[in-house]
Amino acid sequence: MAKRIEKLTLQGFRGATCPVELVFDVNKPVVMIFGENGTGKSCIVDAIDFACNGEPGSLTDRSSTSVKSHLPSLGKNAKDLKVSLSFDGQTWTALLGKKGAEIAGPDSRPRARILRRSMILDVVDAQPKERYEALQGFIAVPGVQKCETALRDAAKAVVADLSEAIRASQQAKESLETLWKAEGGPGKGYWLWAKDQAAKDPTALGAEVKAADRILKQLTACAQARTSLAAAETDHKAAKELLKKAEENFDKAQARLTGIGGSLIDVLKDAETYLKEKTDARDCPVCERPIDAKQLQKRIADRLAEIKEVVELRSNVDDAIDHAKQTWVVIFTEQKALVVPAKKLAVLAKESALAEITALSIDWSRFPCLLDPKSELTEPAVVEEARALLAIVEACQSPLEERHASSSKTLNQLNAIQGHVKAVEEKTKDAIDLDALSKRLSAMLDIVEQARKDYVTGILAAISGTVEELYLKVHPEEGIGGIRFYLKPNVQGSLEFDGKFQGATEVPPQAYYSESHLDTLGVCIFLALARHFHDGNTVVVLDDVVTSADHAHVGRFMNMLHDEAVRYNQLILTTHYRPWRERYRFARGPAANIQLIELLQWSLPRGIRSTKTKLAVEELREVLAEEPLDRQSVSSKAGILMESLLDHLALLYGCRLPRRAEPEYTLGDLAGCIGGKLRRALKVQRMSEEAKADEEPQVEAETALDRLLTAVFSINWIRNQVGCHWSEPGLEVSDTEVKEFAGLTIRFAEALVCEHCGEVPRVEREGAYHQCGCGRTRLHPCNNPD
Amino acid sequence: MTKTPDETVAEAVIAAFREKKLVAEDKLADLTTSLAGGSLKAEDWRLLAETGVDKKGEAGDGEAH
Repeated sequence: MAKRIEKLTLQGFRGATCPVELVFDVNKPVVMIFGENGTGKSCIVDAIDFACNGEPGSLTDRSSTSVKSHLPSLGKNAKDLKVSLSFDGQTWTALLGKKGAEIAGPDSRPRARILRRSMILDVVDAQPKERYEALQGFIAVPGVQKCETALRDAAKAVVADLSEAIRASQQAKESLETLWKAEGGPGKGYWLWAKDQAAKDPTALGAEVKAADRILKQLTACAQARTSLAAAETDHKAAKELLKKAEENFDKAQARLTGIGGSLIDVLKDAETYLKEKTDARDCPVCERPIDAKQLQKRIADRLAEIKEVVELRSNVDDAIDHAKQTWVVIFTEQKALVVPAKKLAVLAKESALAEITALSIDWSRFPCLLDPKSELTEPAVVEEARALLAIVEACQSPLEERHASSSKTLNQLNAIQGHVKAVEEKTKDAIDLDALSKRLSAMLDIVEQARKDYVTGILAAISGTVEELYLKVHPEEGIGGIRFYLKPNVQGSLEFDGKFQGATEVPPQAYYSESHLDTLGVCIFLALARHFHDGNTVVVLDDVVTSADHAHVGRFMNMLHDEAVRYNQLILTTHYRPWRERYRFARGPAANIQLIELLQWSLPRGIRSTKTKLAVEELREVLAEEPLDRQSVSSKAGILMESLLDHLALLYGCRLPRRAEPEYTLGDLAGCIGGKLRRALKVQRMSEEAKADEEPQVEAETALDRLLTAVFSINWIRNQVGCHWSEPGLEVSDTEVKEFAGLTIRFAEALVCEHCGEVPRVEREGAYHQCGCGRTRLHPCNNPD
Repeated sequence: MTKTPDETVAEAVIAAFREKKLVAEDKLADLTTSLAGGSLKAEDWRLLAETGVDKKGEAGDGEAH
């Protein structure tokens, strides 16, 4: 037996404000959960989604909602939420954690494939991109697609690198060509010329440039220092003249004021300074005799005023001396500034092999101090030698500068050529490697892309066939179908589909099909995908996908679902569409193969509540067994069940009934339409199970319906008189007669309905009889003999 | 265990890589998991392509004409 959900428990989950437990019959491949709107159908489906797939279900499609706030029941918190699911003897518990569902249980958790009504629109009526997204749970390969994007990025990056290598190579070539042309275009083209140039050794030329450069630098420094030294010497000479004049003026003033010498002025100034600092002095610091400090200060000031001219002249002499000293220091500094580079120049020039220097034929014996590293920098001899050497070497400065410029240019060009040649060679090699790499990555990308497309295309081709098979079961001979899915070329994540309509092929179904045809198409697409990907561990759920618009096809749709359900572990249907449920209740579908669960009215204090849906015949049996006998209820229920069975026979055999605007026929109408010949011919056969495919089943039992029908028809007035209306004659009907009417109805139902699949015979076979869905019950005759 | 769609496609890719000799054989072993798991980055692909390249006969002569 297939693995199936055995039990589902909801606690604090959306509408489940109180704990609710749903027990599934594992012997039934199909479960129908019926409930009017707002009774909790989608909540149960969401709970399955949560426990199986770890998804929050339909809440994700609702705007302004959050899983954390709205998945728990009203007034509950995430910690109150718990969903338990038992499947094939194992149990999983799903809680709501910070990042969504946290599911504890064995590894082999079942998967739930869930189709909600909103998804049907996404599949059949959305744009190709949205359609792809709606089905990507089946057809997408997110891991491979992610890697494919990375591969595409890698291929693009290599192409960019290749372009850059080619560009850099080309740029280097253009630079070489420009240089070649500047040289007059020698030889047999720029490249050979450049290679020839690049082969040259630039070492000697570099050394030559460097040597000339160093000599020229020292020469320039010496020349600048020599200029500065000359200026300093001029300043010093002027300072000495100034001093001489100040001394002469001082001497003249001193001679005029006899007795006043420079030393007296010094003594008076020192005493004045002393008394300013020692205001409390009482004795002379020289003779130690008592003094009046204030009087003495005044006397000193008077005497200094008397010799003011001499004092000022003396001050001038002192200033001139200081100035002369400063200029002498500057001379020393400038001498050093001259001698230091001159010494370097001497060494460089003496060792130089430059033609411009050697042509000077310098007599180095004239420069012993300059060449002596230990000589004093301000020694007059050194300074003179520096001046002399500078004068000699300056003679070659101009030609040396010309050589330096020329050689530098040659060297720079050589370096540039070598750089460009190297760039051309390296970038050309890089380009070759990158080209090979690019081709390889491109080939890899082609393979990944093709494999992904092949996979998706393969699935689409496979499901196209299945969709057609399923769709034709629901809509046979309606001139529609031929559904074909395909990926739009060169567009990623875009799913196209077309179909046929009244002879026209490759038309968009959404343009021509009715709403109910599109609905069933969406369901067929989903079921085809579920079949394709079934792995023996998958439950399929259809959440309220059938509406009243599908009424015309509901019978064939039910049959298709039952045929398909055996391919999955379990098929769970939810619906608010009562006629669908009633078909099972009245044996118009294989009621024995389906578990019917009914959801009761929801309320906040009581939450979601469920009950078992009873078949009409079961309900009649129960009410018949009750004491005291509910005469009205029994008569009514028996009458409705009988009406349903006779209605089926009338349809099956095309019995004649009065034409009415609405097909609301009474029990009397239906009983009257079963003609005598038909009644006598009606018989039911119970067949043995087919042991082998080619083995004809045997008749195990046969029941003629004539006597049963005749008996029921003889008392079917009880339904009206006891079950429907108040009437005097009805009061006289005994309980025994009511029980007989109900009992005969039950016997007729038991005779007509297959005990294996719970369905009345409905499908014509071989022009000989009608059979039920499982084929174990046959109804004769095939055609109405009346 | 049933293969995931990603694993199915990854295996087809690896088989084609092997047939075309696009990736070195020793690198193919771990590639299925990485490819199906979506963990291959652009630099991983480049390295795979570079290490898979047979250098013989692919080097240029460096001429710039």
